[in-house]
Amino acid sequence: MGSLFALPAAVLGFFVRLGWVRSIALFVGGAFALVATMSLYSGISAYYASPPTVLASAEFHLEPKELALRSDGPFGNFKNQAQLQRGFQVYSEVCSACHSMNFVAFRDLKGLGYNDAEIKKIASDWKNQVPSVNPDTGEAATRKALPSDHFPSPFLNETQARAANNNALPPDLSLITKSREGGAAYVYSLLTGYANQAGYKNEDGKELLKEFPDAKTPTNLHFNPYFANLNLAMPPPLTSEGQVSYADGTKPTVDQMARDVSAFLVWTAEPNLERRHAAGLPVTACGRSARAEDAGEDSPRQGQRRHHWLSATKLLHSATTTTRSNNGWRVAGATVRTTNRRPPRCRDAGMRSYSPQLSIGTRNPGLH
Amino acid sequence: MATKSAEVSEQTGTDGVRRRDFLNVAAVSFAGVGTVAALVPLVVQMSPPADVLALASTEVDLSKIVAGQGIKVSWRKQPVFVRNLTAKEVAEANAVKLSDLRDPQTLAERTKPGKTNWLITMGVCTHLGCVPLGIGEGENRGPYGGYFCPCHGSAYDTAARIRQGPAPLNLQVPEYKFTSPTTVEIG
Amino acid sequence: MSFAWAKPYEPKHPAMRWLDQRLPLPRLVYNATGPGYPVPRNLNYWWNFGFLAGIFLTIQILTGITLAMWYYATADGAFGSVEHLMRDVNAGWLIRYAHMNGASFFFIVVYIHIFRGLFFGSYKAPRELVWMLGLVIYLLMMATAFMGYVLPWGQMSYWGAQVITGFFSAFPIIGEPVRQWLLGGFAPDQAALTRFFSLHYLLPFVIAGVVVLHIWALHIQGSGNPTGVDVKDEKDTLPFHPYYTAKDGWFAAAFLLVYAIVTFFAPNYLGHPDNYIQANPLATPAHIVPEWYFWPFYAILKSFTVGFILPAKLWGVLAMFSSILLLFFLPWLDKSPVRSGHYRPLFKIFFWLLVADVFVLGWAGGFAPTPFRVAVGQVASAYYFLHFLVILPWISRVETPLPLPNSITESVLGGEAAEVAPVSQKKPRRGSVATAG
Repeated sequence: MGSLFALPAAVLGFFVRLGWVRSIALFVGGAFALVATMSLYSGISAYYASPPTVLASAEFHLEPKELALRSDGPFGNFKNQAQLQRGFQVYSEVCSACHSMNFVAFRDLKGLGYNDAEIKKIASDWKNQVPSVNPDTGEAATRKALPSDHFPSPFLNETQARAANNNALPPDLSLITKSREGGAAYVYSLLTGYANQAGYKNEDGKELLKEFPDAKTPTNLHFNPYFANLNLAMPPPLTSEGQVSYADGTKPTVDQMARDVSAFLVWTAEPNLERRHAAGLPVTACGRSARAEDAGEDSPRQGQRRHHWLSATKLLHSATTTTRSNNGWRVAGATVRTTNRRPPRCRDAGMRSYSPQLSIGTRNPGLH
Repeated sequence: MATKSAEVSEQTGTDGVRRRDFLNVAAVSFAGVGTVAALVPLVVQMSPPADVLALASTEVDLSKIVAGQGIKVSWRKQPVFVRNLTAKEVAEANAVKLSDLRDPQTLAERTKPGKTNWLITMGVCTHLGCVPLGIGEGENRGPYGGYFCPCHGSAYDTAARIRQGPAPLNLQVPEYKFTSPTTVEIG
Repeated sequence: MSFAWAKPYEPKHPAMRWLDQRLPLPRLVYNATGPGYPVPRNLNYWWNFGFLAGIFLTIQILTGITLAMWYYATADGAFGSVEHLMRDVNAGWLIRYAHMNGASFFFIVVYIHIFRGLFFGSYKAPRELVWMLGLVIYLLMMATAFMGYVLPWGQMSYWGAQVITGFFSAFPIIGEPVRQWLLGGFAPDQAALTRFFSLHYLLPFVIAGVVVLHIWALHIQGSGNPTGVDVKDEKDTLPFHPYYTAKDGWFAAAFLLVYAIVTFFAPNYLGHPDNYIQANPLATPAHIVPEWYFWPFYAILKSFTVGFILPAKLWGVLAMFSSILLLFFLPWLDKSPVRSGHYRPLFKIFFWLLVADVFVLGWAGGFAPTPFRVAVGQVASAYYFLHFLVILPWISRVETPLPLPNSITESVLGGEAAEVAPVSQKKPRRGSVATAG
């Protein structure tokens, strides 16, 4: 009879010894771990029972091609104004028929090297006009753009845009390179990546339509392996050489036009990029050189502690010797040294030009 | 004599204490109720206001939607899929055994009588709220020919019932009624 | 608080004496950060992150207030106002990027700070309240960051709000009404945006208040230290100023340098490109992911796909909230009298397992949910709960800790030998750390 109660009593005793916090913890932790494990088991058995369908895009989607631009990297800038102006020309003659650029104003074109008169002309000649009001009748009307206006949209609203484009909405291009994985390289790859779906093979030699007959391009869409879903609504915008005739005489191949407009779209996404890099240089160089001064020569490692202060080492010295009773101890490790170095001034650190001699403590010249 | 006055004074003494207690409790309760009452508007103001509630219904014109087509409309700022099922899709939906379904429902239960080809459901995946593909031309309709959610791979069949993937329930059917053979009012 | 040997505040300058008599603010500063606050002498660089967290809170508040001067909290205008800030407002791009990356760095610092606490037993008696106040700060930070991310009204802003408010509908009966009450509507819209702006502006100041309590609670007990051994006498401590002001300042400069490099040269690296697309309630992004600091919790949420008594979605939500709430009980789950992980070899192994586990959870939560990733996430979620709720209590009962040093001074000056075999001890020591002596 007693043995019947032995096991439950032992279990109860265990929980009592554990205390109520740990008992609840055991229960809660066990419950979560159990359900997570059940989910794991269910996921694994579902995977082997009915393996998930592989989508065509998984095997045939291509990563963007390489594209080197002047604006790349930590020292990127927009000094290649010739290319940016060509890109703007491609936008105005090809893309602006369908794509708006709502966040860019005509006056921003100054950053591309146009002067005020040129900008005024570009704005007033711009084929899309700005919504306005007829001053006599009060009815809705349009007017020519001014330099202070943002680029007007080619369509009145989303509905009109979709109606003109088989129910697809051409995205605004102001931020396109910032809002797509791959940035400018993606835009460039997309523009030059249209392919014929019939007989299309990926690099493993698999043929798309044989493996995935369902991926056949529907009507009104166009096959482009650089697009995530493989078929996109935009027809190839750059189809032939000479679609745009460049003012500076550069050969307007499809590849060149795509590169130029991609570079331009990096500028529209972030006109302040050059300013950001220019400001970043003195801030980070100043920060590094200040600490380089602090670190100084390698101080011998004594004890377990090593401190890198500059003139605080002087404070340390005076603090330990004057205010503390001498119990025969000293602050472990610090090499008490006085220093005559003055603190570095940030304007020495490279506001004028980036100096390759800046170093971090070890006196090795290097650019970072 | 002394005991009588002592008794009287004792009685008034305890009475006085009890009255003080009562006054205390009453005053604090009053203040408490008042505070709660003052806080109620601050909490209630967060609920959906009248103008949001007014947008609670939307009318949809069905006349342009041919069999095999669907449109996405906005109702209460959320997408709703209005689809005209083909006879083949209706047959496919009816052929599925209820025991195979995670959330068993027949097509008839999800549509109005006599109008089983009109499938009106929320365009919100019941897993974590993404908008499934399949309503637009050329969109991926998934392995069951209905809707397919690209976020975590939930696949719905032609009656928008969940068949595969993590979503627990079928696409929700909102309240709607036919105000004429070619218009519905949702909500 | 002070130890008995803390220098008392004695203002010399007549202006300071005048002020001190009327409002003892200078005294407060002196006793909190000056020679009036003795600190263990052996603090390592893991102790710098609290101060750094305070710096980032300040950065966020300052940049946030300036951003609020230009931001429109309307569904139509929010996105455009942020672009206006980036393009036309003087230094607007800098303030915006500083705020964006400041949030990320604030979380990096706080996570390191929390893991410091886990390793060195900072949550143990008598500092339990410091730990719990810290968790309150962390919860407030999460709420603030979530609401802040919604404000630009990009695709990730909108859909993140949709998913996270969707959690509440997992709760039966009251779930959906609570969700609509939170949103002020049926889906994230104007009402949700303005109230998130209002609360996003408010909560950092609430955080600042709780930070004051957090530091106050700490200073009552005095700071912990890497050995976990209590301060015994004057030799064990240093005045906060100039030693730790200098150390904190130097490290802060170094860390802020990293922050500056990211802000100026890779400001969008920690973000998601989809948030540069205006919010569209009718088009879901291919992969909805929160910001990186929420990825482990997102993984835990997505790991529960099977219903067991409760529906799977509810398990996920409960697990996600519990994963933080269980930390409140840590002082009572881990009752080992030895604080520091340096002297707890078994604990140390599981600690590093936990660190790895959290990184794995982050990986599982932040990227596309392939079957492999989901499975790994489920294992990692199970381990997370087992670690705190089963393993730690068990360890604290069965572990044999290493012998503790007699005092902080001994461990600093004596070197390794004194730590391993303290002069007065031959056998491993057990028992309350507070009575070591």
